[in-house]
Amino acid sequence: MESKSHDFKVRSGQALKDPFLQSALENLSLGFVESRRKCAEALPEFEALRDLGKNIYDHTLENLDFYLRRYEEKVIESGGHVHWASTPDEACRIATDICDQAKAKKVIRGKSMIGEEMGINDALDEAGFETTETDLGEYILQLAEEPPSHIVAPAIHKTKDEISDLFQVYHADRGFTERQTERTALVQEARQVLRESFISADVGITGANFLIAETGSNIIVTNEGNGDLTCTLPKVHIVTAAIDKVIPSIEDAMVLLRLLGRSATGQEITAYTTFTTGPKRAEDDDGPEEYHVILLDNGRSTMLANEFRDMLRCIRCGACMNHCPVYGSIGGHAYGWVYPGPMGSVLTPMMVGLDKAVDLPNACTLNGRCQDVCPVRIPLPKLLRAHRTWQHERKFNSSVFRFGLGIWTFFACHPNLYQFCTRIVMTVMGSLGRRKGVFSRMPLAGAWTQARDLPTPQGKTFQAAWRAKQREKKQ
Amino acid sequence: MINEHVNPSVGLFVTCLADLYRPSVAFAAVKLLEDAGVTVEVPRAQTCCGQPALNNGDLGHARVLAMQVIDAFAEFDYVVGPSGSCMGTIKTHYVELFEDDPEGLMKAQDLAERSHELISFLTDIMGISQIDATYDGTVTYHDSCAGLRELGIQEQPRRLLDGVQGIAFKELKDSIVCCGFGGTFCVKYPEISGKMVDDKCSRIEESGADTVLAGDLGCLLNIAGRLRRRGETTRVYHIAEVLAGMAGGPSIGDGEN
Amino acid sequence: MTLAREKILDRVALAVGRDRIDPKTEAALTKRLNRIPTILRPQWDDNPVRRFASKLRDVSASVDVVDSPADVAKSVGSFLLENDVPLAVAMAPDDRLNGYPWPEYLKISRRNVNPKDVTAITAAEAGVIETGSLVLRSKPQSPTSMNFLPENHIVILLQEQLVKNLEDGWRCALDSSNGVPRTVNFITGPSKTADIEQTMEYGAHGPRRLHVILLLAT
Repeated sequence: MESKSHDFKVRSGQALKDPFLQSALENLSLGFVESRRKCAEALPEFEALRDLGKNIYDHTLENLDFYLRRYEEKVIESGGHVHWASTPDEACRIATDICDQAKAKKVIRGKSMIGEEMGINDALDEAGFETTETDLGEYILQLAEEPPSHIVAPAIHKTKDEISDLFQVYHADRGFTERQTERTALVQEARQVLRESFISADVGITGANFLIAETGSNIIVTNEGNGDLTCTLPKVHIVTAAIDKVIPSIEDAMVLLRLLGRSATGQEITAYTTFTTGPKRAEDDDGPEEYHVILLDNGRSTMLANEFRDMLRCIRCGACMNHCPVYGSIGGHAYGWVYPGPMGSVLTPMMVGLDKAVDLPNACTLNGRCQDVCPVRIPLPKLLRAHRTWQHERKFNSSVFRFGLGIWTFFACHPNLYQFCTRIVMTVMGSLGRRKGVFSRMPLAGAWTQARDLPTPQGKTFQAAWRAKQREKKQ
Repeated sequence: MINEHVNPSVGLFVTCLADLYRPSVAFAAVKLLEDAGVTVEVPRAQTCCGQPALNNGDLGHARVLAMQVIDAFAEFDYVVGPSGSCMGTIKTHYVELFEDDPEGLMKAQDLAERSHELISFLTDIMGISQIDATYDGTVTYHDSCAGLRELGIQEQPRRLLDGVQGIAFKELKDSIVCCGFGGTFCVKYPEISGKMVDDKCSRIEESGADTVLAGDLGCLLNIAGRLRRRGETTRVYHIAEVLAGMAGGPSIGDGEN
Repeated sequence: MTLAREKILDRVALAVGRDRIDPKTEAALTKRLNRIPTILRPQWDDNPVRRFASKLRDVSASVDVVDSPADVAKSVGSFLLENDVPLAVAMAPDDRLNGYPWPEYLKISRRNVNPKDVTAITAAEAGVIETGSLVLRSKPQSPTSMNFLPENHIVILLQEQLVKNLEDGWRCALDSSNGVPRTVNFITGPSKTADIEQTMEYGAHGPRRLHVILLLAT
């Protein structure tokens, strides 16, 4: 997917002025935050599970060479195929080749963030396949030609009216000519339209929440059931997953599943948690004849080697963005790529380039709430600061800003000069602003006074006042 | 907890915002510390903890400033400052700056052990659970992020406010949500910061309090600035000012009347 | 493609700091894979049947806890009549569904579902008390499509099939002869979505209604 992260300031400005988005974001955080809290409190073992989850991943990543090979062996043993891709383009080529060889015409997709990363829908379209998203939110976005704005609830920015309009336009040729306005009716209409897609599809592509080395299984966690229909009805099932999705065993998976639902949507478990392993067995009445897994690297092996390894523990629950006050103010599209919020601000620069996503690690107050709620204890603020360090070293941040920071640190490193100058400045500011108590405008402080007044300093600096007091005492 | 027979020496880490903007906070800190029975000194060669440099990836300058702080405070039993974010930087982040410098690391670790935020120093180290103070008003409290998440400060300020006579305390909804200051964040992303502080001010308004307190001047300047822009007269003080009985004068953002 | 595989595995090996995995490490890691540890599992005190039923009801499944095979059959009938659903079902050709005194008016086809079927009836491998989940697996006698295609899914479960935790449920789905099946489903409630203005709706793609009948042991 093409990155628009360089446009962060413009896009976030637009988001702040979008009243529906603002109201949707408010509901999102109220809903998810509260339900996560309730779930976490209801499970006495929750904190211990978080530690366990972190340890499982740390262990896996330290031994990823072993677990990737073991996973591949098991998939092959169960009758499946494993394909490897370093880049999104390679992965898309593999997917289109599989579809070609299967003489497919129609492809359906279950929700998969890696699919967005790959840009797989565009690749399939260009190769001439009719591709349909089946997750309701992703389906709506496919019709609207928009990317997801949240990794779990992708269409939160769409109003019911917008959805009604989309359905009216795109479902007309399927015989649905009446514009539906009730939610229930909209969902039922989508169900009927997509039912046909499920039944006539030749290839089903799903993502994976986890890949299990012990058995060669992949797990998908859904509420709609579209993922299950996608991997059961078509004759070819393709799983797209990144190499960091591999975890050792079923036991490990259950620990992580207990964390995932609670952290993502405040559910103990989703309506459907499904393990698929290989193609259908000879005696099965349904299921795919072919099972393919496309393993994508796209920068993960680099992260494995450097200080960003912790980020590979991410289970894509979305808790960080649900609790992030910055995401909560601007929503997902402002971040300009597949992954928004705190986890997106760490991942996006790694994958699209630090220079193309300069704002993302900086548009953060480092308040740390994300780390507080991350089920696998990823130190997100630390990783964002690491990006800032890289940016500073490569001079990717604004030169005006670097200059300003340079001036501040110069003075701060010279206490006598600092105290001399600040005494003067503060005294002047103090006397100018004493009566009103605030400045509504101040040279060089436009960014501050844009949204708030600048309180007046008391005047004398503490150091000056303290020295004066000490002198008095001595007299 | 402190051995009663020892009179510990405390170096006051003033913080740049208290030094430049609101000395009364630092004077309040001195009073509270002296009342608690410690000797307070204010090293001259201190300016800034280095957070702006640290948080913006300028580790070289951050290291220089960290060494300045380490040297200035080398001789004190404790280093105490009226700010969760500055003391959080000193306590938890200085060690990151010296990972490749064993001697610097040792000094940074030593400083970290001796450093405390003011309120938690009074409660957790000096064992104080009540301070004799009076304040007439309905008070609500904003939990500054660094103090809360880096230093675990949440219960302590409420415990001390509980003992202040005349206060009616109202818990702030979303007290743990960031106010949008974030150091350089508020000037780099003013629109987003503006929304965040506006939300915070709405919560303060909804609480019905006539006074908002916190333990960090960055947050307080941000919140006061937005309150005044909204035309609200809510008083804004650093919690130390209230506890030290120094909240009689103009609060942050108040004019002389 | 093999080239990409080698490149990726080489990069991973470099990142974890070893050229090859020595036999001792390989053995230790394999041992870890093959053990069945008691990794931390949620515990509780509630009555198992009550907990299982209430967890399912909390997610809008309907649950009938019954005493006899006759009541199982009655429950199926009531469910269909109360929900105004056609009195024709696709019933999995699973032996565990044999021998119930189904109502005379019920037209039963013992086969996999087709797109026109409105209701499917299946058994299950287990019921997980921890979460109120049904464990189903793909097998010729109970194809997976039955759990997802129709609007209504009725599951008949015996009390002795209730197990404590998710891990126990998994083990029930394994085949002593064939190992891991193609599909293992943990189903906890009907299909739902909140994708339209964050308000819950049922029957997004999977069944709109899930009806569970738990037959108590005598």
